[in-house]
Amino acid sequence: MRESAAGVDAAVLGRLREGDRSAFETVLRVYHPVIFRFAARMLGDPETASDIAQQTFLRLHASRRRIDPRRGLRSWLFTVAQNLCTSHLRRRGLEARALGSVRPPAARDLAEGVAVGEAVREALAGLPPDQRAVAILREYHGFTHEEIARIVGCSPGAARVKAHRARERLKELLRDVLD
Amino acid sequence: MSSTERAPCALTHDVLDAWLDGRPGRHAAHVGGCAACAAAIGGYERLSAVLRSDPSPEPPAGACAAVLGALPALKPLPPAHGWVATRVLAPAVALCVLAVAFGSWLVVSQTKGAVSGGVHWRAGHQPIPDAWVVLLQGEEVVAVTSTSALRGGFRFEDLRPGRYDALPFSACSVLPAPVSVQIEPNHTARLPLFLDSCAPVPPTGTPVHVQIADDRGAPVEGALTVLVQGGRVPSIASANAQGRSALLAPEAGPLTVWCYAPGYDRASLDTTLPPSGTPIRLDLKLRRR
Repeated sequence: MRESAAGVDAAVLGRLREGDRSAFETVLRVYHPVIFRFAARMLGDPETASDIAQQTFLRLHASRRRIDPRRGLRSWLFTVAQNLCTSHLRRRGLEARALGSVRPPAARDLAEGVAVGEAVREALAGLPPDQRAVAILREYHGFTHEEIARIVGCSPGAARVKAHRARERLKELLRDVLD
Repeated sequence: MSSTERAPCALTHDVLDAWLDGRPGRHAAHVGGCAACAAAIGGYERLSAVLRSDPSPEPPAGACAAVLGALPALKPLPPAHGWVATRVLAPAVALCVLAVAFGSWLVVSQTKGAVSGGVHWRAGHQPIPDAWVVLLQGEEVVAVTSTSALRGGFRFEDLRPGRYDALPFSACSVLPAPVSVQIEPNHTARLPLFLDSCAPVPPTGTPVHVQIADDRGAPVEGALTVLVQGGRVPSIASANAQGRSALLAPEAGPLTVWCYAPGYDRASLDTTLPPSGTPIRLDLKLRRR
């Protein structure tokens, strides 16, 4: 589902470029929770997600005059947040760990009361970062594949392939929840 | 039963693409009569339902305020020039100006430099997130920035070549000495900055309200105010839109408030706090360069 914030872009971007502080505050109020949620799902760590969201908006402030209005503020924010998350994961070497160690939640665990939400977060962490980003952008933020391609920096075809692979892997990781 | 156990369908991939793109109606007629495609879509729908059942994480309270607090002042773009209204000469003049501007930009962009680095505690070399760095040239404040929340990093760009002084600030630190850096054209200088920590400052003391204005009386939003007491920095604040900063002095006695805003000379003000703990108000004038 797409956030109701999408319409704010065009109206506010012009004022933001002119240095209107209230415009920046509007963007911050509307988009900060959205960017935080994206980063939190990408990283599985609310504290780091909060840092990433803050950095994203500091970059918005620094780059406000260089944002292309045709590209859209929402896409721009997600692109920056996605790049920051990917850099963070790369720095920490989490890709290798996530790929190697995450296992599907076993039926025994679920029977013992592990929440579905926890299984979902664990399954997302089991995806490579590019597939994770595509899955989160599609499932939780309602972007189309063309928009996702611009955000993650690939072709729409490659975004579709990543989306399919992500879903197949998620189905496998969440098999016990889905059955 | 899973879709893989049904008779395969050549259209399944296209059907799933359309479903993922939010255009399920494109193959609606086919899906109605194809068990493999219907099962594949059903699997995707179940997966979406499970994924979305995970509640959205919510940001911590005060996160937006923290972003606003870390911002330098928003500066408006320079106003449009009057000559733009000249209808007849506008195209020719605009072309000439564009050519000159491009030439100037080309020259200037090739002669500017940058500096980047990080602010760390001297003991342990831990990065200091949300610290401040002031860049000075003589008395003039060239730029002020806060360090990144993750690594305590900072960066200043578009600097004319020359010698600059950098001053890092963070609450609960010993007053730092300026560090010189030479900016060369087309080059980014590296500048690690270090602070010595001091004992934690108690969250009590005398509120010090500073009103910052320029020489015409206009408030200076975003000006960085640094309270110095006994050789240490107990409190730092950035001025709000009305040019007001709220600081906290932990002790009675002499104190100094330093003030830095880009485009102005640095300024300071000395006073003595009475032991009563009554809030005081200070007025600081900044001189524009």
